[in-house]
Amino acid sequence: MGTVLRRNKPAVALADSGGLPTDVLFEVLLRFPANVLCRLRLVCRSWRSLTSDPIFARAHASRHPLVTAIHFSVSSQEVRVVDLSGNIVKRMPLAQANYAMTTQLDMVCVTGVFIQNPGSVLDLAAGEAVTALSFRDDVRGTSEVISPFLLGHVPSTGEYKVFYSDARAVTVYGEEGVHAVQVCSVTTLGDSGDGGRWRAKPAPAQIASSTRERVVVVGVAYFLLSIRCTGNNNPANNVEPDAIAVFDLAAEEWRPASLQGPLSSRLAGGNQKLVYEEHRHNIQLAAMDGCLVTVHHNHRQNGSMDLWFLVDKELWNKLYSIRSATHCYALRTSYPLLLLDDGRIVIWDEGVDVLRVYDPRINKWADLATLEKYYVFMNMYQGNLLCPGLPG
Amino acid sequence: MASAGSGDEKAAAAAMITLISSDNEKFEVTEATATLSQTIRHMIEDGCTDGGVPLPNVTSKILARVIEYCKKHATAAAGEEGSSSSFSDAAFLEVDRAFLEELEEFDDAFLEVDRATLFDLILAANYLDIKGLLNLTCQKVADSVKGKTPEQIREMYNIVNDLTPEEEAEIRRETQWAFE
Repeated sequence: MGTVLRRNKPAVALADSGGLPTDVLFEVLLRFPANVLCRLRLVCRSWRSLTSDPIFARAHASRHPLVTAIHFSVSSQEVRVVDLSGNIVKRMPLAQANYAMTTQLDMVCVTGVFIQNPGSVLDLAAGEAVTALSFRDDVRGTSEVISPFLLGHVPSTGEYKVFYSDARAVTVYGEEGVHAVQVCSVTTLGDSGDGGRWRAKPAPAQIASSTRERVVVVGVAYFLLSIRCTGNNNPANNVEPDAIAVFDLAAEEWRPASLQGPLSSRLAGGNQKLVYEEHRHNIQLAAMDGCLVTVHHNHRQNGSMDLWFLVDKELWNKLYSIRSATHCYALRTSYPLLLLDDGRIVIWDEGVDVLRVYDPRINKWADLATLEKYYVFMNMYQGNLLCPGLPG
Repeated sequence: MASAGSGDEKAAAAAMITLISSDNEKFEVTEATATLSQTIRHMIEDGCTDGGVPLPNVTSKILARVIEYCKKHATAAAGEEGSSSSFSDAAFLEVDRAFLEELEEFDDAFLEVDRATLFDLILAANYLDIKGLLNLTCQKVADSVKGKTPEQIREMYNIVNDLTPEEEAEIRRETQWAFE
Protein backbone atom coordinates (compact mmCIF):
# COMPACT_ATOMS: atom_id res chain seq x y z
CA MET A 1 0.00 0.00 0.00
CA GLY A 2 0.96 3.57 -0.37
CA THR A 3 2.53 3.31 -3.77
CA VAL A 4 2.78 6.80 -5.17
CA LEU A 5 0.74 6.55 -8.30
CA ARG A 6 1.02 10.05 -9.63
CA ARG A 7 4.33 11.64 -10.25
CA ASN A 8 3.09 15.08 -9.26
CA LYS A 9 2.07 14.05 -5.78
CA PRO A 10 3.63 15.90 -2.84
CA ALA A 11 6.54 14.26 -1.12
CA VAL A 12 4.64 14.01 2.14
CA ALA A 13 5.97 11.25 4.32
CA LEU A 14 3.74 8.22 4.25
CA ALA A 15 3.28 8.55 7.98
CA ASP A 16 0.95 5.99 9.39
CA SER A 17 -2.48 7.58 9.28
CA GLY A 18 -4.24 4.46 10.39
CA GLY A 19 -4.21 2.60 7.12
CA LEU A 20 -5.32 5.63 5.12
CA PRO A 21 -2.80 5.74 2.28
CA THR A 22 -1.62 9.24 1.42
CA ASP A 23 -3.05 9.02 -2.09
CA VAL A 24 -6.44 8.08 -0.71
CA LEU A 25 -6.22 10.87 1.85
CA PHE A 26 -5.23 13.32 -0.90
CA GLU A 27 -8.29 12.47 -2.96
CA VAL A 28 -10.65 12.43 0.01
CA LEU A 29 -9.48 15.69 1.58
CA LEU A 30 -9.73 17.47 -1.80
CA ARG A 31 -13.48 17.22 -1.36
CA PHE A 32 -13.67 19.40 1.76
CA PRO A 33 -13.87 23.21 1.79
CA ALA A 34 -10.78 25.14 2.90
CA ASN A 35 -12.15 26.17 6.29
CA VAL A 36 -12.96 22.57 7.22
CA LEU A 37 -9.49 21.46 6.06
CA CYS A 38 -7.83 24.00 8.35
CA ARG A 39 -9.67 22.45 11.29
CA LEU A 40 -8.78 18.93 10.13
CA ARG A 41 -5.11 19.85 10.46
CA LEU A 42 -5.58 19.11 14.16
CA VAL A 43 -5.94 15.38 13.43
CA CYS A 44 -2.22 14.66 13.08
CA ARG A 45 1.01 15.85 11.48
CA SER A 46 0.55 14.06 8.17
CA TRP A 47 -2.92 15.55 7.70
CA ARG A 48 -1.46 18.96 8.50
CA SER A 49 1.49 18.67 6.12
CA LEU A 50 -0.65 17.26 3.31
CA THR A 51 -3.22 20.07 3.50
CA SER A 52 -0.45 22.71 3.62
CA ASP A 53 1.46 21.33 0.66
CA PRO A 54 1.46 23.63 -2.41
CA ILE A 55 0.55 20.79 -4.78
CA PHE A 56 -2.46 19.89 -2.68
CA ALA A 57 -3.34 23.56 -2.22
CA ARG A 58 -3.28 24.15 -5.99
CA ALA A 59 -5.33 21.07 -6.75
CA HIS A 60 -7.81 22.22 -4.10
CA ALA A 61 -8.06 25.75 -5.49
CA SER A 62 -8.77 24.54 -9.01
CA ARG A 63 -11.43 22.21 -7.69
CA HIS A 64 -13.08 24.81 -5.48
CA PRO A 65 -13.21 28.19 -7.23
CA LEU A 66 -13.90 31.00 -4.78
CA VAL A 67 -15.18 34.53 -5.13
CA THR A 68 -14.67 37.56 -2.93
CA ALA A 69 -17.17 40.31 -2.33
CA ILE A 70 -18.20 42.84 0.22
CA HIS A 71 -21.36 41.86 2.00
CA PHE A 72 -23.52 44.67 3.34
CA SER A 73 -26.06 44.26 6.08
CA VAL A 74 -27.79 46.72 8.37
CA SER A 75 -25.46 46.03 11.26
CA SER A 76 -22.17 45.18 9.62
CA GLN A 77 -20.07 44.88 6.50
CA GLU A 78 -17.50 42.29 5.80
CA VAL A 79 -15.30 40.96 3.07
CA ARG A 80 -16.39 37.42 2.37
CA VAL A 81 -14.86 34.53 0.50
CA VAL A 82 -17.67 32.40 -0.87
CA ASP A 83 -17.66 29.18 -2.88
CA LEU A 84 -19.77 28.72 -6.00
CA SER A 85 -22.48 26.97 -4.00
CA GLY A 86 -22.85 30.10 -1.89
CA ASN A 87 -21.19 28.71 1.23
CA ILE A 88 -19.20 31.27 3.18
CA VAL A 89 -15.65 29.99 3.54
CA LYS A 90 -14.12 33.01 5.20
CA ARG A 91 -15.24 36.38 6.49
CA MET A 92 -13.36 39.47 7.53
CA PRO A 93 -15.22 42.32 9.22
CA LEU A 94 -14.72 45.84 7.89
CA ALA A 95 -14.56 48.73 10.32
CA GLN A 96 -16.22 51.20 7.97
CA ALA A 97 -18.44 51.51 4.97
CA ASN A 98 -16.73 51.11 1.62
CA TYR A 99 -17.39 52.21 -1.92
CA ALA A 100 -15.23 49.84 -3.85
CA MET A 101 -13.06 46.79 -3.69
CA THR A 102 -10.39 45.31 -5.92
CA THR A 103 -8.90 41.86 -5.36
CA GLN A 104 -5.45 40.58 -6.36
CA LEU A 105 -4.31 37.18 -5.09
CA ASP A 106 -4.65 37.24 -1.28
CA MET A 107 -4.99 41.01 -1.06
CA VAL A 108 -8.04 43.21 -1.28
CA CYS A 109 -8.13 46.97 -1.48
CA VAL A 110 -11.21 48.79 -0.20
CA THR A 111 -12.08 52.45 -0.55
CA GLY A 112 -13.79 54.08 2.40
CA VAL A 113 -16.86 56.24 2.13
CA PHE A 114 -15.53 58.91 4.46
CA ILE A 115 -12.81 61.27 3.47
CA GLN A 116 -10.97 60.93 6.79
CA ASN A 117 -10.68 57.19 6.25
CA PRO A 118 -10.03 56.84 2.57
CA GLY A 119 -8.98 53.27 2.02
CA SER A 120 -7.01 50.26 3.12
CA VAL A 121 -5.41 47.10 1.86
CA LEU A 122 -6.30 43.87 3.65
CA ASP A 123 -4.55 40.53 3.57
CA LEU A 124 -7.33 37.98 3.25
CA ALA A 125 -5.12 35.00 3.97
CA ALA A 126 -3.68 36.49 7.15
CA GLY A 127 -6.99 38.13 8.01
CA GLU A 128 -5.60 41.53 8.84
CA ALA A 129 -5.31 45.05 7.52
CA VAL A 130 -1.93 45.66 5.94
CA THR A 131 -1.86 49.31 4.98
CA ALA A 132 -4.05 52.33 5.40
CA LEU A 133 -4.14 54.35 2.20
CA SER A 134 -4.27 58.08 2.09
CA PHE A 135 -3.41 60.44 -0.69
CA ARG A 136 -2.63 64.15 -0.69
CA ASP A 137 -1.52 66.44 -3.47
CA ASP A 138 -1.48 70.08 -4.36
CA VAL A 139 -4.25 69.99 -6.90
CA ARG A 140 -7.24 71.71 -5.45
CA GLY A 141 -10.73 71.13 -6.62
CA THR A 142 -13.67 68.90 -6.08
CA SER A 143 -13.07 65.21 -6.48
CA GLU A 144 -15.44 63.53 -8.89
CA VAL A 145 -14.30 60.02 -8.15
CA ILE A 146 -15.55 57.91 -5.29
CA SER A 147 -13.25 54.94 -5.70
CA PRO A 148 -9.81 56.28 -6.59
CA PHE A 149 -7.72 53.23 -5.58
CA LEU A 150 -6.93 50.23 -7.75
CA LEU A 151 -4.80 47.39 -6.42
CA GLY A 152 -2.45 45.52 -8.72
CA HIS A 153 -0.07 42.60 -8.29
CA VAL A 154 3.13 42.72 -10.34
CA PRO A 155 4.08 39.11 -11.13
CA SER A 156 7.63 39.95 -12.28
CA THR A 157 8.59 41.39 -8.89
CA GLY A 158 5.94 39.94 -6.60
CA GLU A 159 5.10 43.46 -5.44
CA TYR A 160 1.68 44.93 -4.87
CA LYS A 161 1.06 48.44 -6.09
CA VAL A 162 -1.84 50.78 -5.62
CA PHE A 163 -2.83 53.05 -8.46
CA TYR A 164 -4.60 56.27 -7.54
CA SER A 165 -6.66 58.20 -10.06
CA ASP A 166 -8.98 61.07 -9.50
CA ALA A 167 -10.75 63.63 -11.63
CA ARG A 168 -10.92 67.09 -10.12
CA ALA A 169 -13.19 69.90 -11.12
CA VAL A 170 -11.13 73.04 -10.67
CA THR A 171 -12.51 76.56 -10.79
CA VAL A 172 -10.03 79.13 -12.04
CA TYR A 173 -10.49 82.71 -10.91
CA GLY A 174 -11.52 84.97 -13.74
CA GLU A 175 -12.48 82.16 -16.06
CA GLU A 176 -15.85 80.78 -16.83
CA GLY A 177 -16.84 77.24 -15.90
CA VAL A 178 -14.59 74.60 -14.43
CA HIS A 179 -11.43 72.93 -15.62
CA ALA A 180 -11.05 69.21 -15.47
CA VAL A 181 -7.82 67.91 -14.00
CA GLN A 182 -6.93 64.25 -13.99
CA VAL A 183 -4.58 63.16 -11.21
CA CYS A 184 -2.68 59.85 -11.29
CA SER A 185 -0.20 58.42 -8.85
CA VAL A 186 1.20 55.07 -7.83
CA THR A 187 2.72 53.57 -4.69
CA THR A 188 4.27 50.26 -3.75
CA LEU A 189 2.96 48.37 -0.75
CA GLY A 190 5.12 46.84 1.89
CA ASP A 191 8.60 47.18 3.24
CA SER A 192 10.42 48.78 0.33
CA GLY A 193 11.61 51.58 2.60
CA ASP A 194 9.63 54.27 0.88
CA GLY A 195 6.32 52.54 1.52
CA GLY A 196 3.50 55.00 1.40
CA ARG A 197 5.30 57.40 -0.94
CA TRP A 198 3.21 58.27 -3.95
CA ARG A 199 4.87 58.77 -7.32
CA ALA A 200 2.91 61.19 -9.49
CA LYS A 201 2.31 60.00 -13.05
CA PRO A 202 1.19 61.94 -16.09
CA ALA A 203 -2.50 61.60 -16.77
CA PRO A 204 -3.14 60.85 -20.43
CA ALA A 205 -6.87 61.34 -20.63
CA GLN A 206 -9.98 61.02 -18.62
CA ILE A 207 -9.98 57.45 -17.36
CA ALA A 208 -12.83 55.53 -15.81
CA SER A 209 -12.83 54.78 -12.11
CA SER A 210 -15.87 52.57 -11.66
CA THR A 211 -15.34 49.04 -10.46
CA ARG A 212 -16.24 47.26 -13.68
CA GLU A 213 -14.56 49.79 -15.96
CA ARG A 214 -10.97 49.14 -14.94
CA VAL A 215 -9.09 45.99 -14.22
CA VAL A 216 -5.58 44.70 -13.59
CA VAL A 217 -4.44 41.71 -15.63
CA VAL A 218 -0.96 40.25 -15.12
CA GLY A 219 0.60 43.47 -13.84
CA VAL A 220 -1.05 45.77 -16.37
CA ALA A 221 -3.89 48.13 -15.46
CA TYR A 222 -6.57 48.82 -18.08
CA PHE A 223 -9.02 51.71 -17.91
CA LEU A 224 -11.89 52.57 -20.20
CA LEU A 225 -11.67 56.16 -21.38
CA SER A 226 -14.49 58.54 -20.59
CA ILE A 227 -15.83 61.80 -21.84
CA ARG A 228 -16.30 64.12 -18.91
CA CYS A 229 -19.68 65.51 -18.10
CA THR A 230 -18.18 68.63 -16.57
CA GLY A 231 -15.27 70.78 -17.61
CA ASN A 232 -14.81 72.99 -20.60
CA ASN A 233 -11.22 72.25 -21.46
CA ASN A 234 -11.66 68.71 -22.56
CA PRO A 235 -10.59 68.02 -26.12
CA ALA A 236 -11.63 64.39 -26.01
CA ASN A 237 -14.99 64.59 -27.63
CA ASN A 238 -14.23 61.85 -30.06
CA VAL A 239 -13.46 59.03 -27.67
CA GLU A 240 -14.45 55.61 -28.88
CA PRO A 241 -16.78 53.87 -26.45
CA ASP A 242 -14.34 51.04 -25.81
CA ALA A 243 -10.99 52.82 -26.03
CA ILE A 244 -8.72 51.63 -23.24
CA ALA A 245 -5.81 53.39 -21.53
CA VAL A 246 -3.05 50.97 -20.56
CA PHE A 247 -0.71 51.44 -17.59
CA ASP A 248 2.18 49.06 -17.01
CA LEU A 249 2.46 48.65 -13.23
CA ALA A 250 5.99 47.22 -13.33
CA ALA A 251 7.49 50.03 -15.41
CA GLU A 252 5.00 52.55 -14.01
CA GLU A 253 4.39 53.96 -17.46
CA TRP A 254 1.43 54.54 -19.70
CA ARG A 255 1.55 52.75 -23.01
CA PRO A 256 2.03 55.48 -25.62
CA ALA A 257 -1.24 54.87 -27.39
CA SER A 258 -4.56 53.80 -26.02
CA LEU A 259 -5.74 50.36 -26.97
CA GLN A 260 -8.48 50.23 -29.56
CA GLY A 261 -11.40 48.18 -28.30
CA PRO A 262 -13.00 45.40 -30.31
CA LEU A 263 -16.10 47.39 -31.16
CA SER A 264 -14.53 50.59 -32.43
CA SER A 265 -14.07 49.48 -36.00
CA ARG A 266 -17.48 47.83 -36.06
CA LEU A 267 -19.32 50.87 -34.80
CA ALA A 268 -17.48 53.36 -36.96
CA GLY A 269 -19.32 55.89 -39.03
CA GLY A 270 -21.84 58.51 -38.09
CA ASN A 271 -21.51 60.84 -35.20
CA GLN A 272 -18.76 59.60 -32.91
CA LYS A 273 -20.27 61.26 -29.88
CA LEU A 274 -23.61 59.55 -30.44
CA VAL A 275 -21.88 56.22 -30.86
CA TYR A 276 -20.07 56.85 -27.61
CA GLU A 277 -23.23 57.77 -25.78
CA GLU A 278 -25.12 54.80 -27.08
CA HIS A 279 -22.52 52.20 -26.20
CA ARG A 280 -20.19 53.46 -23.51
CA HIS A 281 -22.37 52.46 -20.56
CA ASN A 282 -22.87 48.99 -22.03
CA ILE A 283 -19.18 48.17 -21.89
CA GLN A 284 -17.26 46.74 -18.95
CA LEU A 285 -13.83 45.26 -18.44
CA ALA A 286 -13.06 41.91 -16.85
CA ALA A 287 -10.11 39.59 -16.29
CA MET A 288 -10.67 35.98 -17.31
CA ASP A 289 -8.27 33.17 -18.02
CA GLY A 290 -5.32 35.58 -17.70
CA CYS A 291 -6.72 37.81 -20.47
CA LEU A 292 -8.25 41.24 -20.60
CA VAL A 293 -11.90 40.86 -21.57
CA THR A 294 -14.37 43.48 -22.70
CA VAL A 295 -17.93 42.73 -21.75
CA HIS A 296 -20.36 44.26 -24.19
CA HIS A 297 -23.98 44.28 -23.18
CA ASN A 298 -25.43 44.29 -26.64
CA HIS A 299 -29.06 45.32 -26.74
CA ARG A 300 -29.45 44.82 -30.45
CA GLN A 301 -30.63 41.57 -31.99
CA ASN A 302 -32.57 40.32 -28.96
CA GLY A 303 -29.73 41.14 -26.64
CA SER A 304 -26.59 39.35 -25.71
CA MET A 305 -23.52 39.71 -23.55
CA ASP A 306 -20.48 39.50 -25.82
CA LEU A 307 -17.11 38.60 -24.33
CA TRP A 308 -14.12 39.74 -26.36
CA PHE A 309 -10.77 38.36 -25.22
CA LEU A 310 -7.56 40.24 -25.95
CA VAL A 311 -5.57 37.27 -27.19
CA ASP A 312 -2.61 39.16 -28.54
CA LYS A 313 -1.30 42.71 -28.24
CA GLU A 314 -4.08 44.20 -30.32
CA LEU A 315 -6.04 41.19 -31.45
CA TRP A 316 -9.53 40.80 -30.04
CA ASN A 317 -11.30 37.51 -30.26
CA LYS A 318 -15.02 37.29 -29.59
CA LEU A 319 -15.18 34.01 -27.83
CA TYR A 320 -18.68 34.13 -26.45
CA SER A 321 -21.96 35.70 -27.27
CA ILE A 322 -24.09 34.89 -24.28
CA ARG A 323 -27.81 34.86 -24.74
CA SER A 324 -30.32 35.19 -21.98
CA ALA A 325 -32.55 32.29 -21.07
CA THR A 326 -35.47 34.61 -20.41
CA HIS A 327 -35.34 38.08 -21.93
CA CYS A 328 -32.63 40.43 -23.02
CA TYR A 329 -32.80 42.65 -19.93
CA ALA A 330 -31.92 39.75 -17.65
CA LEU A 331 -28.28 40.09 -18.67
CA ARG A 332 -28.05 43.75 -17.77
CA THR A 333 -26.95 43.21 -14.20
CA SER A 334 -24.76 40.21 -15.03
CA TYR A 335 -20.99 40.10 -15.05
CA PRO A 336 -18.73 37.19 -16.07
CA LEU A 337 -16.40 35.90 -13.37
CA LEU A 338 -14.66 32.76 -14.50
CA LEU A 339 -14.07 30.42 -17.40
CA LEU A 340 -14.25 26.85 -16.08
CA ASP A 341 -11.99 24.07 -17.37
CA ASP A 342 -14.92 22.45 -19.15
CA GLY A 343 -15.64 25.64 -21.13
CA ARG A 344 -18.60 26.85 -19.07
CA ILE A 345 -18.69 30.40 -17.75
CA VAL A 346 -19.57 31.45 -14.23
CA ILE A 347 -21.71 34.58 -14.24
CA TRP A 348 -22.80 36.73 -11.33
CA ASP A 349 -26.17 38.42 -11.59
CA GLU A 350 -25.99 41.20 -9.07
CA GLY A 351 -29.55 42.27 -9.76
CA VAL A 352 -31.04 39.13 -8.27
CA ASP A 353 -28.03 37.86 -6.25
CA VAL A 354 -27.65 34.65 -8.23
CA LEU A 355 -24.49 32.84 -9.32
CA ARG A 356 -25.10 31.08 -12.61
CA VAL A 357 -23.21 28.95 -15.02
CA TYR A 358 -23.62 29.23 -18.76
CA ASP A 359 -22.66 26.55 -21.23
CA PRO A 360 -21.93 28.27 -24.55
CA ARG A 361 -21.85 25.03 -26.56
CA ILE A 362 -25.48 24.20 -25.89
CA ASN A 363 -26.63 27.71 -24.95
CA LYS A 364 -27.92 26.55 -21.56
CA TRP A 365 -28.04 28.19 -18.16
CA ALA A 366 -28.03 26.64 -14.71
CA ASP A 367 -28.26 28.33 -11.33
CA LEU A 368 -25.37 27.59 -8.99
CA ALA A 369 -26.55 29.44 -5.91
CA THR A 370 -28.84 32.19 -4.75
CA LEU A 371 -26.92 34.31 -2.28
CA GLU A 372 -28.36 36.41 0.49
CA LYS A 373 -28.93 40.03 -0.41
CA TYR A 374 -26.32 42.72 -0.91
CA TYR A 375 -23.14 41.21 -2.12
CA VAL A 376 -21.26 43.83 -4.11
CA PHE A 377 -17.97 44.14 -6.01
CA MET A 378 -17.83 40.40 -6.57
CA ASN A 379 -14.73 39.01 -8.21
CA MET A 380 -12.74 35.81 -8.38
CA TYR A 381 -10.52 35.05 -5.43
CA GLN A 382 -7.08 34.25 -6.87
CA GLY A 383 -5.28 33.62 -3.61
CA ASN A 384 -4.99 30.40 -1.69
CA LEU A 385 -6.48 29.93 1.77
CA LEU A 386 -4.54 26.72 2.44
CA CYS A 387 -1.18 28.04 1.35
CA PRO A 388 -1.10 31.83 1.70
CA GLY A 389 1.05 33.63 -0.87
CA LEU A 390 0.77 30.82 -3.38
CA PRO A 391 0.09 32.33 -6.77
CA GLY A 392 -2.78 30.70 -8.62
CA MET B 1 -31.75 4.46 -34.81
CA ALA B 2 -29.51 2.74 -37.29
CA SER B 3 -27.66 5.13 -39.54
CA ALA B 4 -25.17 5.04 -42.31
CA GLY B 5 -21.63 4.40 -41.15
CA SER B 6 -22.71 2.42 -38.12
CA GLY B 7 -20.46 -0.38 -39.30
CA ASP B 8 -17.50 1.36 -37.72
CA GLU B 9 -19.40 1.85 -34.50
CA LYS B 10 -20.30 -1.81 -34.39
CA ALA B 11 -16.71 -2.77 -34.90
CA ALA B 12 -15.67 -0.44 -32.07
CA ALA B 13 -18.34 -1.81 -29.77
CA ALA B 14 -17.26 -5.35 -30.45
CA ALA B 15 -13.55 -4.66 -29.94
CA MET B 16 -12.31 -6.44 -26.86
CA ILE B 17 -9.46 -5.43 -24.59
CA THR B 18 -7.60 -7.71 -22.24
CA LEU B 19 -6.70 -6.32 -18.83
CA ILE B 20 -4.07 -8.13 -16.77
CA SER B 21 -4.10 -7.76 -12.97
CA SER B 22 -1.00 -7.64 -10.76
CA ASP B 23 -1.50 -11.35 -9.95
CA ASN B 24 -1.59 -12.11 -13.66
CA GLU B 25 -5.27 -12.79 -14.06
CA LYS B 26 -6.75 -11.85 -17.43
CA PHE B 27 -10.03 -10.01 -17.87
CA GLU B 28 -11.60 -9.54 -21.26
CA VAL B 29 -13.80 -6.45 -21.53
CA THR B 30 -15.39 -4.43 -24.30
CA GLU B 31 -13.66 -1.27 -25.37
CA ALA B 32 -16.69 0.74 -24.24
CA THR B 33 -16.25 -0.62 -20.72
CA ALA B 34 -12.49 -0.20 -20.66
CA THR B 35 -12.52 3.39 -21.91
CA LEU B 36 -14.34 4.59 -18.82
CA SER B 37 -10.75 4.60 -17.61
CA GLN B 38 -8.98 7.61 -19.10
CA THR B 39 -5.66 5.83 -18.55
CA ILE B 40 -6.74 2.90 -20.72
CA ARG B 41 -8.42 5.22 -23.23
CA HIS B 42 -5.07 6.92 -23.81
CA MET B 43 -3.34 3.56 -24.19
CA ILE B 44 -5.88 2.53 -26.80
CA GLU B 45 -5.43 5.83 -28.62
CA ASP B 46 -1.68 5.28 -28.60
CA GLY B 47 -2.26 1.80 -29.97
CA CYS B 48 -0.42 -0.04 -27.24
CA THR B 49 -3.03 -2.49 -26.03
CA ASP B 50 -2.06 -5.48 -28.19
CA GLY B 51 -1.24 -8.45 -26.04
CA GLY B 52 -3.24 -7.06 -23.12
CA VAL B 53 -2.93 -4.13 -20.74
CA PRO B 54 -0.87 -4.95 -17.65
CA LEU B 55 -2.10 -3.20 -14.52
CA PRO B 56 0.62 -3.90 -11.96
CA ASN B 57 -1.06 -1.70 -9.34
CA VAL B 58 -4.39 -3.52 -9.30
CA THR B 59 -5.10 -6.96 -7.88
CA SER B 60 -7.55 -9.33 -9.54
CA LYS B 61 -9.97 -8.95 -6.64
CA ILE B 62 -10.10 -5.16 -7.05
CA LEU B 63 -9.98 -5.27 -10.84
CA ALA B 64 -13.04 -7.51 -10.89
CA ARG B 65 -14.94 -4.94 -8.84
CA VAL B 66 -13.72 -2.05 -10.99
CA ILE B 67 -14.86 -3.86 -14.14
CA GLU B 68 -18.23 -4.53 -12.56
CA TYR B 69 -18.58 -0.78 -11.98
CA CYS B 70 -17.41 0.13 -15.48
CA LYS B 71 -19.76 -2.33 -17.19
CA LYS B 72 -22.76 -0.88 -15.40
CA HIS B 73 -21.77 2.71 -16.02
CA ALA B 74 -20.72 2.15 -19.64
CA THR B 75 -24.28 0.99 -20.33
CA ALA B 76 -25.51 4.09 -18.55
CA ALA B 77 -23.28 6.35 -20.62
CA ALA B 78 -24.48 4.72 -23.84
CA GLY B 79 -28.08 5.22 -22.71
CA GLU B 80 -27.44 8.88 -21.97
CA GLU B 81 -25.96 9.53 -25.38
CA GLY B 82 -28.96 7.87 -26.98
CA SER B 83 -31.48 9.94 -25.09
CA SER B 84 -29.78 13.30 -25.57
CA SER B 85 -29.68 12.89 -29.32
CA SER B 86 -33.36 12.09 -29.54
CA PHE B 87 -36.28 14.27 -28.61
CA SER B 88 -36.76 14.13 -24.87
CA ASP B 89 -40.43 13.32 -24.68
CA ALA B 90 -42.10 12.14 -21.51
CA ALA B 91 -41.54 8.46 -22.22
CA PHE B 92 -37.83 8.99 -22.60
CA LEU B 93 -37.62 10.99 -19.37
CA GLU B 94 -39.46 8.21 -17.56
CA VAL B 95 -37.01 5.61 -18.83
CA ASP B 96 -34.09 7.87 -17.91
CA ARG B 97 -35.36 8.32 -14.38
CA ALA B 98 -35.92 4.63 -13.79
CA PHE B 99 -32.45 3.96 -15.13
CA LEU B 100 -30.84 6.59 -12.91
CA GLU B 101 -32.60 5.15 -9.87
CA GLU B 102 -31.32 1.72 -10.75
CA LEU B 103 -27.82 3.13 -11.15
CA GLU B 104 -28.01 4.80 -7.76
CA GLU B 105 -29.07 1.54 -6.15
CA PHE B 106 -26.18 -0.18 -7.87
CA ASP B 107 -23.72 2.42 -6.55
CA ASP B 108 -25.06 2.11 -2.99
CA ALA B 109 -24.71 -1.66 -3.08
CA PHE B 110 -21.29 -1.36 -4.70
CA LEU B 111 -20.03 0.65 -1.74
CA GLU B 112 -20.96 -2.06 0.77
CA VAL B 113 -17.36 -3.16 1.21
CA ASP B 114 -14.84 -3.22 4.04
CA ARG B 115 -12.53 -0.30 4.56
CA ALA B 116 -9.41 -1.89 3.04
CA THR B 117 -11.32 -2.72 -0.15
CA LEU B 118 -12.71 0.80 -0.29
CA PHE B 119 -9.21 2.28 -0.07
CA ASP B 120 -7.96 -0.13 -2.75
CA LEU B 121 -10.85 0.92 -4.98
CA ILE B 122 -9.89 4.58 -4.52
CA LEU B 123 -6.28 3.83 -5.43
CA ALA B 124 -7.37 1.85 -8.48
CA ALA B 125 -9.83 4.55 -9.58
CA ASN B 126 -7.07 7.12 -9.18
CA TYR B 127 -4.54 5.08 -11.15
CA LEU B 128 -7.00 4.15 -13.89
CA ASP B 129 -8.45 7.65 -13.88
CA ILE B 130 -12.11 6.71 -13.63
CA LYS B 131 -13.74 9.92 -12.48
CA GLY B 132 -17.12 8.56 -11.46
CA LEU B 133 -15.68 5.72 -9.41
CA LEU B 134 -13.16 8.02 -7.75
CA ASN B 135 -15.93 10.45 -6.79
CA LEU B 136 -18.16 7.72 -5.50
CA THR B 137 -15.57 6.03 -3.32
CA CYS B 138 -13.93 9.21 -2.03
CA GLN B 139 -17.29 10.67 -1.10
CA LYS B 140 -17.96 7.59 1.00
CA VAL B 141 -14.78 8.19 3.02
CA ALA B 142 -15.40 11.95 3.14
CA ASP B 143 -18.89 11.34 4.53
CA SER B 144 -17.40 9.23 7.31
CA VAL B 145 -15.19 12.16 8.35
CA LYS B 146 -17.75 14.92 7.88
CA GLY B 147 -18.83 16.65 11.07
CA LYS B 148 -16.50 14.63 13.28
CA THR B 149 -14.05 16.09 15.79
CA PRO B 150 -10.33 15.40 15.28
CA GLU B 151 -10.49 12.99 18.22
CA GLN B 152 -13.38 11.03 16.69
CA ILE B 153 -11.54 10.86 13.36
CA ARG B 154 -8.37 9.57 15.01
CA GLU B 155 -10.39 6.91 16.80
CA MET B 156 -12.17 5.84 13.64
CA TYR B 157 -8.98 5.43 11.61
CA ASN B 158 -6.57 4.46 14.42
CA ILE B 159 -4.54 7.60 13.94
CA VAL B 160 -2.04 8.56 16.62
CA ASN B 161 -2.04 12.23 17.52
CA ASP B 162 1.60 13.14 17.01
CA LEU B 163 1.05 16.91 17.28
CA THR B 164 2.61 18.64 20.30
CA PRO B 165 0.39 21.05 22.25
CA GLU B 166 2.53 23.86 20.79
CA GLU B 167 1.84 22.69 17.24
CA GLU B 168 -1.87 22.47 17.96
CA ALA B 169 -1.82 26.02 19.30
CA GLU B 170 0.08 27.09 16.20
CA ILE B 171 -2.53 25.57 13.86
CA ARG B 172 -5.30 27.38 15.72
CA ARG B 173 -3.37 30.63 15.62
CA GLU B 174 -2.38 30.41 11.93
CA THR B 175 -5.91 29.83 10.76
CA GLN B 176 -7.93 31.35 13.56
CA TRP B 177 -10.58 32.35 11.04
CA ALA B 178 -11.43 28.71 10.40
CA PHE B 179 -12.17 28.08 14.06
CA GLU B 180 -14.47 31.06 14.63
